[in-house]
Amino acid sequence: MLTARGWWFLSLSALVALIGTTWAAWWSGTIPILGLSLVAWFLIEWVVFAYRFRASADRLRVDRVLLQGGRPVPAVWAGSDFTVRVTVTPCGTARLPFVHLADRPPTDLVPGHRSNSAAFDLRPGEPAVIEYRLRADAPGVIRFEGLQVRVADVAGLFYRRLFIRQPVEFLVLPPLTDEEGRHRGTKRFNTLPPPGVHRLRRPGSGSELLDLRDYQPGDPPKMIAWKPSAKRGTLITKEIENEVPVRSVLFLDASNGARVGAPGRAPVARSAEVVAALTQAAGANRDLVGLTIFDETSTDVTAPARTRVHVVQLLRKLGEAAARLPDPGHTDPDLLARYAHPLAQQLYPDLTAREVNSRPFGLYWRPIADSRWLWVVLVLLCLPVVLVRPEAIEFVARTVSTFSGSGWDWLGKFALVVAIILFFPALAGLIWLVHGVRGLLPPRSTRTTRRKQLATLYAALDGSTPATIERHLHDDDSFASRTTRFLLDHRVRLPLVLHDQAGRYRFRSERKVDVLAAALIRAVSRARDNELYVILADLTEVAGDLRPLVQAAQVARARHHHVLVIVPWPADVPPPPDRQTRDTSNPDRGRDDAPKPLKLGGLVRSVLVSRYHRGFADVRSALAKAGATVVRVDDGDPVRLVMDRLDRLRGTRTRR
Amino acid sequence: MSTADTARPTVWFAWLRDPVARNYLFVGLASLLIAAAALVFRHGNLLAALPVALAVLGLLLRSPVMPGLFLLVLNLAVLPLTAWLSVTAFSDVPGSHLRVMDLVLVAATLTYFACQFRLLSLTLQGMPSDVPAGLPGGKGDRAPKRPGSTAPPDETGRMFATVAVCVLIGQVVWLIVSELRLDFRETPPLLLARPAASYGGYRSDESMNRFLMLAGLTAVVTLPTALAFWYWRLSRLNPGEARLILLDTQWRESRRELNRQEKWRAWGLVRRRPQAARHSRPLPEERPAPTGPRRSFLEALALTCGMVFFGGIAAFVVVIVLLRYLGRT
Repeated sequence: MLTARGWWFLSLSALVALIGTTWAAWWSGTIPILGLSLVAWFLIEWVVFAYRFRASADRLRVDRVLLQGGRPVPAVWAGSDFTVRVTVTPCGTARLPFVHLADRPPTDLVPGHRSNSAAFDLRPGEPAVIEYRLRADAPGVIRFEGLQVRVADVAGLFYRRLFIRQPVEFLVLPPLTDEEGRHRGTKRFNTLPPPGVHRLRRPGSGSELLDLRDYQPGDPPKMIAWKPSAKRGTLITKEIENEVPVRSVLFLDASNGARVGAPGRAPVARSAEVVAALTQAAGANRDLVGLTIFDETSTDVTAPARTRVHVVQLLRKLGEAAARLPDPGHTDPDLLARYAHPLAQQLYPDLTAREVNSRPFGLYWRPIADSRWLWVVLVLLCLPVVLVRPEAIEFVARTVSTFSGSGWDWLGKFALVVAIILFFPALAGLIWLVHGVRGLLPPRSTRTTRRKQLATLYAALDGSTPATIERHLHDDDSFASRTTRFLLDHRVRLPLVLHDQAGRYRFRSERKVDVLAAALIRAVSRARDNELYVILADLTEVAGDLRPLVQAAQVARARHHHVLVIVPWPADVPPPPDRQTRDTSNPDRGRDDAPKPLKLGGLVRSVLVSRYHRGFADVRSALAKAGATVVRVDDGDPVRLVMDRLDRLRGTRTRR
Repeated sequence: MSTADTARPTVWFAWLRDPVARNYLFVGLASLLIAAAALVFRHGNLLAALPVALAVLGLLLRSPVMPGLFLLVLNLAVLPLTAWLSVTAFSDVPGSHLRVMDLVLVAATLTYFACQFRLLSLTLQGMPSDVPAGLPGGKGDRAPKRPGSTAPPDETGRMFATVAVCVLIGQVVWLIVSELRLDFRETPPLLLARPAASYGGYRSDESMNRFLMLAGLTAVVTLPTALAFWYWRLSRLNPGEARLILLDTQWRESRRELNRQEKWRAWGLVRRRPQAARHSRPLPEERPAPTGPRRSFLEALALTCGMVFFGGIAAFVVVIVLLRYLGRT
């Protein structure tokens, strides 16, 4: 509560008052009066500050509004600025002359030109407003944790900090206005039906002739083909092709491996942007679009539709999918606590304070019974019982007398008995003391403090029992999983270790192939006519386990559906060289064979890149055999490619 | 994200553009002038005004250290001057504790302290930098200053009123401390100083008496106030804090039993893990490389010879002792 300025002022004024009243008062009355007046001023300032803090500081009402385009919005669009307006209304009874309010902005956002914090003189009932601008470059979720309130007196002697928790999440939807203009403006084929439909070779009510057949009673007269009827002498009826809407189903990979990457640059985020563009472009063409978001365990299916509400619903789902953070899979509790403890201190200062989240002395003491040193201590404690025997004493006494003469015989025995009785227990006590005290010293004490405070906080947040605290203190796995969840809940990005000690990729998930294959089969089973399946998935790491997906693609192709696979290419991996340019790109190869210095980082990078290229080639080869097309997301314009495919579907006569 | 109110001035004395800071600066300088005049009048010596020069420097340079230095030098200057020169001011009331010059000096000093601290809050640092260690971006956090625009117009007047009250309290407390004496044989244990002086059979040291009175007064004022605020805080606990207090109390009461259970449970989990993962002996290529420099041949030779030599001596002593023991038996 006291600042450094307050501490030294209190110390000096108390010292002056004490010396003045006890000693200096013999000579001068000025010093005691000065000291007492200073102490009185300090006490008055303290009482006033404490009263104001208790009466008003924790009675602040916070209202948060996001503004985009000058109006409040429940979700924001990616790629454009938005304004955060925080209104703080004091509901207490006292005035707070110096309050510093800081809104905690979400991570991964680009700050605008205005500040997210300001100092105010808060009076009861008079609201204070903070406005600042942010911009989200990628779709996802932004989370506002709350408002940090720092209160001080005008002299800077006292200070308190609290955090008004008001966690709220807003969706960042993929950009809308940019993609609306992507609807088809050119007519690629003369036989194209109107947007949103394609021909189906079944009798229906379209515009193209499908077949001629004999007239049957009940056929409408307007369908009679008069010329063929005149030629054959019998009535012939025209059959018209059916016209059905073009449907496409998009499969989005939101598995743990697809979430790895820089903010907004992860494969799932890039895929979500592509899917959003596809959704809006197809929607603008009145095509039906469905979405299936899958990960290692589950799928989230949205049936195809083409209404405006459906598009917005898809955008929301895309935003939620792009917001998923990768599970780092860390098992080191100390590493996780290093990230979680400062966050807990900032967001939960009231629940990590020492007076409510205690740290007793016994918590830090390391019991000897938990260590193998216990056996040493027990042996040392039992040693006097064994050693205080006539034979042993005689042996050592003779040894002593060997070096010191016979006159020391009895003295040696006596000293030996005392030493045996006292020395070994004292040694055991020393081991016990050193072993226990080591827990009181850093870094063990720091680790214990972090873990205890976080464990108690978790137990309070989860509403669990005191046994949970003790479990988190001793069970590393339990603590690590709960801390990871705590950090992911608060959208904290942890450093990722991509490869394990054996060099294996840690985020490789084979199970997502099975889930994707099952989702594809499900979509095929529910398809009504020829459809386009667009799979946006990072499959290069599972190139060897694609058999279920290949089989599912073969099933889809057998039902005359189209399958298109778009691989979200990482930003830091160069595209694979073309076959034509692969051999001719470096004509000087072999001419300049001078050895170059080998750099380990470059070598590792080149190995990883070549492995990724090889994986992509395997995926392309395996799926091409099944009739699917595989492209990279940065290879041209994937949205245009998909739209062309849809046009082809729309114009192509199907074969049955 | 940078705060707008923590922009550093780029020119000298740019902080004087703030009218509130200017106001406190001039009030502080005026109070120091009064303090200097009071010191000179009180002690009749120009040297008495020396501490004021430090305070003026502190105000102009906005030094956080100077107020403390001023207070120390002021006391060090006042005491010997009073003791050696023993000048009686013209305003002293004989036989009374009321000394007008002391009151003026104390009021001026208090005003200076209030102005100096407020000036520091306005121009240098209003509250400490408070970002938990380890949080990203914590190092770039700058301590916020108090913007002068938030100061109400009657702030200076309130400061003067507070200073006047404090001077009055200081005078009254000094009167109580010096004029009352403790006698625990009486009820109430307080007597006026003059009757107590003629009271036979009981003699108290004046310094100790004043100390006890000061300690008692401090306790009487501070403890009930702190208790009231403590109770107020308890009554204003939010649900999370209340739940945490109960949870923490339960944990402290049952910690010994739970500790044993959870420790055994954690040990069991560790033992249940695959054996290879638990006791994985590193392969020769996975073993950590030696961290220190490689020993030269001569160092290794000297080390080996030393170990052989001292080991031989130890073995020789053991053998001799055993032989002697066996020979005697």
